[in-house]
Amino acid sequence: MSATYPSVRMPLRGPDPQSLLEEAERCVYCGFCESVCPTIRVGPHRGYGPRGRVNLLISWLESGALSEEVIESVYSCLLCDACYTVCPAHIRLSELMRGARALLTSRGALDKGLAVRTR
Amino acid sequence: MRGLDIRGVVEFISELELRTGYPVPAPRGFASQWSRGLGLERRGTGRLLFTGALYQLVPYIEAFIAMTLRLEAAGKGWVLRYGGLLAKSIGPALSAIARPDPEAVRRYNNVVRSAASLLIRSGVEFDYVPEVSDMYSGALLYDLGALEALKVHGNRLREALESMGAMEVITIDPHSAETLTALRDLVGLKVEVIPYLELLKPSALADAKGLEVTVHDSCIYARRLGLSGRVRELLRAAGLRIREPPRSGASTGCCGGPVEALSPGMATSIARARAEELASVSGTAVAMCPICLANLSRARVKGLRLVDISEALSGSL
Ligand code: SF4
Ligand code: SF4
Repeated sequence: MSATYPSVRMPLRGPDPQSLLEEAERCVYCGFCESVCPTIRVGPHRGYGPRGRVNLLISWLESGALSEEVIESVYSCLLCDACYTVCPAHIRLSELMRGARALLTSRGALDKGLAVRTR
Repeated sequence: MRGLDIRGVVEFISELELRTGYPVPAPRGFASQWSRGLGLERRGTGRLLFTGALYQLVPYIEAFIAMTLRLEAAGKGWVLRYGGLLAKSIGPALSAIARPDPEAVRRYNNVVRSAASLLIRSGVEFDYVPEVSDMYSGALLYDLGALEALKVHGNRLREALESMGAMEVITIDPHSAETLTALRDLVGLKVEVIPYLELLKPSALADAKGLEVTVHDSCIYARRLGLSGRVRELLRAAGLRIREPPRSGASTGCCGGPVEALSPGMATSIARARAEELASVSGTAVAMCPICLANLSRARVKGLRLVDISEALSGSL
């Protein structure tokens, strides 16, 4: 076994909305990911699951309209990549969500009073 | 159930990190207490042990979260909305209020000692310089997307590692390994990152004489670094019998810990489901990440004992 790390590169996506959007748009909405996501079972809406996260991210980046739902969805992700293991499009939600968080903080778009909710 | 104010938490952690080097209030020197009396030193090997302070931080993270929950319960949760200001004004002094459980401090320090001892027994040569080896990796900043704060912290870390002439760093937890790797892209950190589990020799391990355990794989080790096979190889070499849980290896179930800073309630309910799953196959579960260990333990599932892999491999079961 090689003692070097890692074989997989994990690029840190900077706050680049266009590349985030392109990555999110590869989703085919199959929903396979929802069966393995730990947060969808405890969150109050579908935005607490991977498909919903992709959906909300696209709608925010396309329309520019940032809702409370989007923020909850982005910050409730565990970055665990369980969804990646079953995703036919090989979308890494963890990288998308880190990128979305970086975008939100760099734009100063996080309002006070927003929180992740549990069902 | 509502979690904590997202912006307040991100600002508090970013600000405190920049002021003290760590993301939650903790007393000076806490991160290096574990190494007292071990005689570790700088030897000029070019390979540095880098604990990333995550194990050592766990009791302080727990204490800080307990403090925020007390504030919420007292109807004073609004102060967290001013997290940045709070960190600037009294952040470092909060360590006098957010006091950790001394038993947890002892236990997590002991985990780090066990990891270092396993490396030594495996004949691995490394440098240890407390002020660099026990710096924080910036893992929480990375996960929360606090990129500006992470860049500042990452550059400090890069300079410290360069000043040591470190070509390689040995990490002891998955989040520090992942964050250091991200810092290679972000701030040009030029070190090879080696998880310590890759370096251990079977001859260095204790013999557990067939004791049965289950394994809680870390998401990062299992899904990104492909270390599940290595983990099992080591546990078997240490005389442990493994009973796999329903979700294991690359299909492991996250402990919920990554959302703990924003929603302790959500983190605990995810942890409870996972801990029950582990308890259904064995009374002892081996974890390999401080966040998993803390979060799964907090679920307090009856009949389940959680141990770190360094404890399992060194016979402290
Ligand atoms: S990475 Fe996020 S979206 Fe994917 S399974 Fe984990 S919590 Fe769910
Ligand atoms: S599995 Fe992948 S492609 Fe399918 S809905 Fe989930 S994110 Fe989209």
